Amino acid sequence: MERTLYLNENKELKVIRDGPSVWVKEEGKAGSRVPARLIGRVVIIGNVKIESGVITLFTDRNIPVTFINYRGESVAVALPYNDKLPRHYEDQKIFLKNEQNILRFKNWLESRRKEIQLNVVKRLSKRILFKFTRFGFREKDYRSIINQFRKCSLEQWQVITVIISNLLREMIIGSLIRADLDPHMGVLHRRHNFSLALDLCYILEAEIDVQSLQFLKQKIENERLIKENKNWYVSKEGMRDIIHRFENRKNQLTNITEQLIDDIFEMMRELRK
Amino acid sequence: MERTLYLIAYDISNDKRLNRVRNFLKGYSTGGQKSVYECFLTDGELRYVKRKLERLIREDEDRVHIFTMDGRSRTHTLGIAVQPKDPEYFYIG
Repeated sequence: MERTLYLNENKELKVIRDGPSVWVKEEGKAGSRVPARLIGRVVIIGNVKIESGVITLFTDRNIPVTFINYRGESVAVALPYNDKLPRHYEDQKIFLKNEQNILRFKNWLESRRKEIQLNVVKRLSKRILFKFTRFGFREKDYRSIINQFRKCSLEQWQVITVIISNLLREMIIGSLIRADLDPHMGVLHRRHNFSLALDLCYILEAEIDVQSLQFLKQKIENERLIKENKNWYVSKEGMRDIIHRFENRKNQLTNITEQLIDDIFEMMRELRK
Repeated sequence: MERTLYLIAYDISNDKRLNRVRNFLKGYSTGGQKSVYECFLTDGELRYVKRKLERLIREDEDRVHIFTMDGRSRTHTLGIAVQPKDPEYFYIG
């Protein structure tokens, strides 16, 4: 049921609300209907002509709407206005209660992050995995491995990773809202908006790296990154490719996120004792 | 979740009931024409849609057809019509 609706910039595209669904008009094409009940997330890329009713249709149903551009910048997230706190808000406060709890949460973040990094290294090179598991590894060891595989400029790399991390963040925010957790109640990124979502994103950062590497591998054949006014942008085809890759991996990513949320509940129970 | 394609067509004589039926079906349809809706439904959803439509229409005046489409067959399309599909995600643009 939890499908994502991606609306990509197109001059002829017009999105209007039609009862419990959205109606997408495109010149020279038959209109298409997307019922809101099938949608779990909405991502709007670039400048899309859209009725404000479309945004309220989704936000009324607790579906986050994310706005991104072709550089992954200027991100905005529309969420429903809710004067009530999430059900587990008070329980979540326990993570910030004292230094010991903060440290425990941070240790959990680091250990989970390392686990995901090892999984990614396993996909990149069995030899390096062997080295890492035998002798251990630090953050900078992992980064140097990714830099070795990167084979593009840092700016190009950032454009891709920012877009993928936005897609991932959107997915995480949706999961946190469904679990009735406050997405703003994180530890590592505390005092930031969506800090808990950012914390979980920090764990899954290695997944962003591997998807970016896969995208860059493809890029050699087709130009999917374009340079305009000294800035790098992802082309329309490139955006479609990134989304397709992300969607192919979404089920696994959702499962990992659900496990992380289970861990959070487990920790809350333990710390309450 | 396994979904089957159903074509739902209606002929409603009263405007108020027509609007109610149309609004209800828009929540389930991913394509179709003015009074013909393409709906990919699970068995449970189909049961719900049937029950709801029964309540929305007047048995002695209105009619609704629910056609089950054979999943193996391909729809012939003409003009700007598109093949009915039930995608994993919606990408528009």
